[in-house]
Amino acid sequence: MSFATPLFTRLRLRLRRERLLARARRAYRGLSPLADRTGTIAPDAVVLCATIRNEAARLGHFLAHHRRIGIGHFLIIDNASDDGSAKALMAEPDVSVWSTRASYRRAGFGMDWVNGLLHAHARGRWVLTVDADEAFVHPHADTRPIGALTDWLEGQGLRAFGAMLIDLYPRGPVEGAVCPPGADPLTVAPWFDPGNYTIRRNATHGNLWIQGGVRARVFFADAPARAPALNKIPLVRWGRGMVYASSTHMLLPRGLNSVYDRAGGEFASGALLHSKFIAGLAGKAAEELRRREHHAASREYRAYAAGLAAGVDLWCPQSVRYDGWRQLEALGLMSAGNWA
Amino acid sequence: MRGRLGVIVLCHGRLTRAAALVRHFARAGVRVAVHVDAAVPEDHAGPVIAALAALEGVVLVPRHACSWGGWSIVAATEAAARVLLGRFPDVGHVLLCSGACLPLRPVAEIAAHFAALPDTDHIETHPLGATRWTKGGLEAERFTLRFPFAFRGQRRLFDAAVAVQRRMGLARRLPEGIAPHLGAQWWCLTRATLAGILDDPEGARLRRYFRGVWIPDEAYFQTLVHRHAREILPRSPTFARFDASGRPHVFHDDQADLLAATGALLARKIWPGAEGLYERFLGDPGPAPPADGRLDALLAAADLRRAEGRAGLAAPGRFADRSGRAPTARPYGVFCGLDAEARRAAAAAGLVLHGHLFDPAGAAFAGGGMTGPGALPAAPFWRDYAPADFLRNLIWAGREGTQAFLLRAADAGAIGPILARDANARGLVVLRGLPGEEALCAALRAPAARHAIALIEARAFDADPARHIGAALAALGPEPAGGGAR
Repeated sequence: MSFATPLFTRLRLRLRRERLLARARRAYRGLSPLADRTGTIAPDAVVLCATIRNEAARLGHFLAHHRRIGIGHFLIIDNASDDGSAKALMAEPDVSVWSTRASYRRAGFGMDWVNGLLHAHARGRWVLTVDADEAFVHPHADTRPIGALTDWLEGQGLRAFGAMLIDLYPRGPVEGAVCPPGADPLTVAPWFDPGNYTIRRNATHGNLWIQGGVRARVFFADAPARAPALNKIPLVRWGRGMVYASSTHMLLPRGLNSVYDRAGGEFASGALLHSKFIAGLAGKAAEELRRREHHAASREYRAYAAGLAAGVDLWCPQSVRYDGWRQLEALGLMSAGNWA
Repeated sequence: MRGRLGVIVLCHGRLTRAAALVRHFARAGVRVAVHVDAAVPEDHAGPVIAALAALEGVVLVPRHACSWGGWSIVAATEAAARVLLGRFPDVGHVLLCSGACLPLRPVAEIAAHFAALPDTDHIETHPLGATRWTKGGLEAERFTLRFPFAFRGQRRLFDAAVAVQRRMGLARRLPEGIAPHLGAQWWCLTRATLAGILDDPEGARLRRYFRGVWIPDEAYFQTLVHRHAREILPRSPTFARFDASGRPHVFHDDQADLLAATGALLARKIWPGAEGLYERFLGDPGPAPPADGRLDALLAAADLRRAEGRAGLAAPGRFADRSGRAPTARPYGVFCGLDAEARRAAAAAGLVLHGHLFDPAGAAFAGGGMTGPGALPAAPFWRDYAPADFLRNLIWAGREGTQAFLLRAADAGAIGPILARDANARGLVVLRGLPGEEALCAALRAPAARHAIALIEARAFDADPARHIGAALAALGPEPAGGGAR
């Protein structure tokens, strides 16, 4: 942390971090292990952590994609699924599952569970924290596994790696993009917005705040300040005293948020392909509205429900079809930095 | 005297690949001295060492703890060299490798290469001051300052110690009889040269001095070789490159062909998981392709991307608020007060001309859609939420051509100061005495303004419109070559 930061701010961040750490310890005690296979994790494995709820249809592809990029073990928190998600996960040999029926909202939108689990099982490891509708893409993903990236980051003396959420969508009505269970949602929803992103810097926490993409364009065009944040720091070498402070948008201590260059150069960064907009979202939006467990009184889900009911087409003439990490790098949405 | 090849392998960290390398050399009849960093935990190192010690022609060296940038690496190298030369009198050349090195050619070919030049030392060695060899950081001061703190781990103290010595003008005196040289750590020396260095009558004095030099593994042999060599080929046999921050570039499976075409005999640093590289180069690497500079070019491009980035890009890894560079990717045209003339001229010049991008009702993109370049929404809220981002996105997304837009003075409130600070803003403002012009003029004439937007009275413009528009278009420069993007 910079010495230029006012003492008061440093103190406030420190207190917040201690509070989050205490919450994490408490939250971890509230998780019941359904399948704890953490003893089988290889010493240098990169692990993935996710909180899920009723994702049975997505899990097949979610696991397959992240196994393919080289994830060695999955740490999953099941938040009261009733569609068999937990049972399906328990049958997988490289997955450990915990369950809780507690409130997602009151657990810091799941982050208390994640922080608790990572402190209990992932210290000293590289951890990828994502949602079930996200697929991590790193530079050279077509030829090098994620372990090559984490070894390189380690060699560079870096402890965290940034990635941007890329919202994908279909052409035509969202409810028409039917993704069979276990299939790759990219096959039905491969489009994204190539270059309408605003980027600011949060001076207190030192992270970037990125907004834009299809959600901003279609659902928040008249209320830009409320558009969802797309900046994430999903890959971290987990260590003592660390916490995710707000989803995976920022970490404390805040030095971990410096995953970008300010002098004009490019840090290596990745992307999270976000396949929210496929058939089934309307039902999900309705349910989340009823549960009121999401951010900002579920304003986001209200916007989706309204738009989806109207059969809105998210596609526009400038939409681009996803074609791999090199395409995202050419567009400037991610970068290999100096990882040649 | 023709002799066998001897290899010193310095091992740190993960030993599986290093062990495979040692076996590979030993199988080919090469003599190997293995040094395992004492910092490698015993439960990992013990079994590997025991297995290697049983191999014919392999000798283990007493373990030193090696710290980066310190003398211990040279000490370990010298210890290994003594053991190797003492144990195997038939060794003619000694090649220094690390456990992360990989031979790019068959071992027999490498051995024959050195044996064909029995009196030649292969070592990169640059006299201090000729051309800068290091990438940033200290160079001559490596020899003249003292370094009581570790660069990695005690960085603040390290920097402070350097600053204090500079301010006080402190400098160590160079010992007599040497001219400081620097070069890559990986070399191949003749028995005679290496023995000369090990048994140098001045050795004790010189070692005492080099103990205090920073990163002596890039200075000790590179300097002392000049006291003992008969013939020096000043090039490392190993392709190894550092990035701008001084960390070694690491090679992966997808770079196999590029590595083969470096023309080097060995390469470093290989990622331990690069199964394909180990399979290919420890198997049959095939005939050597003609050497080219593709890998060096690739690494240089990566270093440049890290150091300078792409102009006009804001991205998750690049937030260039401290770069002092133009916020946009390339020059673009701004035309204020001359809609009809600008439309005609832009069409003739092949520009992408948008309408009134900053119209309060919404952005009028070329083509008139609800969305513009990069999928920017035409709705005014998003544009007015972050006008600088809107402009940057527009120019970035359309950087394969030259873009221009119309501006009404009355619409320029928010964007005027942004245009004024952007050196890529080119064009023409024709003053007709309309609302908003005064504020726009003030913004464009501000002392901090870096743009090339000409302000001109309507009378002068009406008298000679073609000349003024021509000058504004000329300021946009030629179309970007090859699309300008990548």
